[in-house]
Order: sequence, then structure tokens, then C-alpha cells
Amino acid sequence: MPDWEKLVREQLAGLNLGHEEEDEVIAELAGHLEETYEALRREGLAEGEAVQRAVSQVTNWSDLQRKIYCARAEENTMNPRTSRLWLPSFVTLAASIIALVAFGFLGLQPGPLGSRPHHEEWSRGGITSGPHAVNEYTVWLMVLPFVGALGARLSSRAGGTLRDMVISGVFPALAWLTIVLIVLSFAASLERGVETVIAPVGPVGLIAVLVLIPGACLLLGVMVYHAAAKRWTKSVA
Amino acid sequence: MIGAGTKRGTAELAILSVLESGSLHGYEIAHRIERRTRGKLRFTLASLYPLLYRMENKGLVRGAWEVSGNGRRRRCYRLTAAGKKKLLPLRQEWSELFRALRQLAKVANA
Repeated sequence: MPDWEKLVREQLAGLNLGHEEEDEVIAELAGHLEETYEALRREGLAEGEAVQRAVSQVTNWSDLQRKIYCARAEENTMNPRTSRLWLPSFVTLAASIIALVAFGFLGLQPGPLGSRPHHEEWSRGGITSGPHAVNEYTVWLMVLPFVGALGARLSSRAGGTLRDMVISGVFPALAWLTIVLIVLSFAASLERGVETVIAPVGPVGLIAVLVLIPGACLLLGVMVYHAAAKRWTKSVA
Repeated sequence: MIGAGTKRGTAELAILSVLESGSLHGYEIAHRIERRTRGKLRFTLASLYPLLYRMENKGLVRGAWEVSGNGRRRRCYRLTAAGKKKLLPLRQEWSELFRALRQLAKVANA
């Protein structure tokens, strides 16, 4: 059996799409040729004849190359990386921020990320202490798995890999990490900086509250979505 | 002579129709169309994929990589909401055209 990917790659050498997109087109067409070949073999054709019949589906490779280029490149307004990674990531980030702000407006009590008497609440004890067992932070954490799953879904729908899905899903935590690191380095340069900004949780607590715990919730959503999608795909196949 | 626009129209209708029942990868789309039309409509690789990609750009279908039970990665296509919306009027349009052609043929044979 020939190396179908190699064959298609050679024939479409001048396709000139983005590297990733070109690989996808080649893999898809090679898969089609392989399935055709296998079906012909099942019908009893000899290997050579099956290969020839499969390849004869394309009489003019340069014409096919031109048509594929026209269909994919000319009307394409968004490259695959944008649709699989950046767009879902920013949607996830926006959804997480909107959720947090919305819970503040709904009148839930602020937690360590409190929106009303922020600094007072922080200095009074933050996440675990204080009179409010269920605060906006807790509710936000409960919503984050859905936000993570949304990012994974958008990435997967655009053809993203598991890596793209994970990055898209946990992107808000990565953004928070960047902000925390900037704040910590800025606070460290102030005279009383660290104590003012991060007390009483400390740098580790701050990273846990803003990055690790939300990140774990987002990742949970991504993994649950991934497992469900995998099960669904298996059942369809 | 049947023009490119008419051919593309029938081909789009065929693809949208087979995808109505669920997501399929390219080979399956071609195979199913051939089976359902008893070999009267055939898609080769060269005719199928440029059209599928164009339909994807128009937002009528959406492709996503899926892993099948035997571990093979395939790009499966499904109808989008726009594709579903387009299918009904497209069907009516073609059905009217064929009815008109049949009537014309009857008159010609009479």
C-alpha cells in the first residue's frame, strides 16, 4: 500500500496554504484515498489495480490544487490558530470575567475577589473566614467548569487538538497568573508593597486563590467535556 | 448543456441532504450519495473536497476532526443551522425545476 500522505503532499506541493491548514488538507485527502483503496481491495481488486483506481479519482492535480486554494484560502478570514486557540481563549476569559462581575451585581457577598468593599473584605479574612460562607468567589468557582467546557467546545468545534482545548479552557487562569506576577513584582518594588497588596493571604495564597483553584475548576470542565465528546464520538463510530 | 452553477447547486443539495441525518466524513458522504442515487450521482475526491471547503466557508457545513473506534482520525462534517435553513428552499427549488422539466418532456413526447 502506498504512503498516501506522501503521494498527496507531492502532488499538492504548491498548495501554499498555511502550514497547519495544508497538513490538514493533505491528511484529509490521503484518508479519502486510503478508504477508497481499502474498499476496492475488499471488493477483490489486486493491490496495483486498487491503487490505480483510487488515484484515478484525480485526473488533474494542479486543477484540484487551484480549486482547493480558491475554496480555502481566498475566502478564509480567520486562520486555524485563531479559530482553535485564540478565539476560544478570549471567549473563555471574557466569560469568566463577565460571570464574576455579574455575581457582584446580583448582590452576592464578595469573597477574596470581592467587588464592593474589596480591600476591607480581604483584610478581614478573605476566602475562608468572615460571615459569608457562600460568596461570589465560591459561586464563580462553581461556574468555572462550565466556562472551561465552553472554551474546549469552541476549540474542538474549530478542529483544535486536546492541547488547544486545554489552553483555551484554562486561559483565564493563565491570564490571572500573568497579572498576579506583575502585581507581585510591582508590589515588591514598593516600600510596604507586598504587605499592602497581598496581605493577608500571602503570595502563595494569592496564586492559589487567583490561579490554581480557578485553573483546577476550568481544567475540570475541559476534561469532563473531552471525556464526554470522546464517548460520543466512539458511540457514533 | 448543464452549467457549472446548476451542477454546483445539485451537488450542494446532495451533500446537505446526506448530512441531514448526522455527521459524516468525506468518503462516507461520497459513498452515501452514490448508494442513495444508485450510482447516478458520483463524487470523486476531486469534485467533493473543493465543494465541501466552499460550503464550509459559506457556513453551511462545519468540519471537525474526530477519532473513530479504530483510532483513525477523520474530518467529519455536519450541517450548521444555516445549512439546515438552506436545505428546505433548495429542495423545493429543485423539485419545482424537475416537475417543470417532466411536464415539458410529456408535452414533447405527446
